[in-house]
Amino acid sequence: MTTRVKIIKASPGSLVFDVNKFVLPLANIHLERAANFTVQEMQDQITASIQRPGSTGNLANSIFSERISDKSIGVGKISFLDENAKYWKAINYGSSHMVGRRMPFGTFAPGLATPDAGSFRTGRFYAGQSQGGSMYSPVVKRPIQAHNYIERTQAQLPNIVERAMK
Amino acid sequence: MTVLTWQKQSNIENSIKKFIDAQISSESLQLLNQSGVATDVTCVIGQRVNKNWNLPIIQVYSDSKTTERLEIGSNNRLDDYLVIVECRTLLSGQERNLAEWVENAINDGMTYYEYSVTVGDPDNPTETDSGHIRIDFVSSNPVSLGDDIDLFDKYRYRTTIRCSLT
Repeated sequence: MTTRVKIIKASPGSLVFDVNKFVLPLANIHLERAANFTVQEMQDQITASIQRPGSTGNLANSIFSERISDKSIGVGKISFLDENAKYWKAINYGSSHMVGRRMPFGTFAPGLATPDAGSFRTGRFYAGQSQGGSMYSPVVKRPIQAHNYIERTQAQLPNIVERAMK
Repeated sequence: MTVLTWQKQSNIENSIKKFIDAQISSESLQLLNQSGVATDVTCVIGQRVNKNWNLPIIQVYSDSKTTERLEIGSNNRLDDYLVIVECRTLLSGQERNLAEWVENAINDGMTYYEYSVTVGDPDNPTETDSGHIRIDFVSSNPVSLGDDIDLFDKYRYRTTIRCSLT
């Protein structure tokens, strides 16, 4: 079976003119919306996987989009992350490189400067700071668990694109 | 009292492991260690790094799931499961080769088994052939965490797949 398709144009100009005037700007809007949704999704994934109180939000705030060319927008600038949130890889992929090593002296807060097991995930360790003159140097026992915020965002891309096209 | 049986995420993890184990066994797959001795490749389930692992390993775990409504007006869902497959090896370059082998092996998907827990013998659940796992590749990248890192992190390759049940 052969089907003929007739393109009915609203204006008498060329098809290329119509594409440039109507289709490309619309595609651009969709692209920007998809990039913004992707940034939001990745920030949400990072925030949702925070395990301890007192986060500065630095990693989530370091995720932004940047136009690479007329037809592409990048999300998460690696050179910026390497400079401003160096731990982005360790958080995403997990890392066991500190296990068994001693951390620099500092304090745990809130709570006792030297926490007990009951303080698990109730605070953070602040290197170089003391609490009432008390400091200690803990040995890292557990690896950083992979948070997979990049992959979780990638898994949401079909939904993001669908939302951006609406 | 009802003992909750394994749900889909655990079933998928174990079905993938069963498939990879069978492939390893059928090819008698081994990799050389630092001394040039052929070493068995093992497949493990779980996100947390275990110091008792003997490299090289293929680590498989289900990370999260995305749930879309199948059609308007229906509560039927289309569930996709994000599964991380990490190849961790002893020597540089092996991780890429092993990952490529894994990707080729799982490309066509595998049998989906439902597992029911055996009370009193939780290590030996009963498995039932319950369909097929369809695979879509989401990402495939080496994990580079730097030079000063643990052996488990040194030669890592991560493949992320989206699994759906058919």
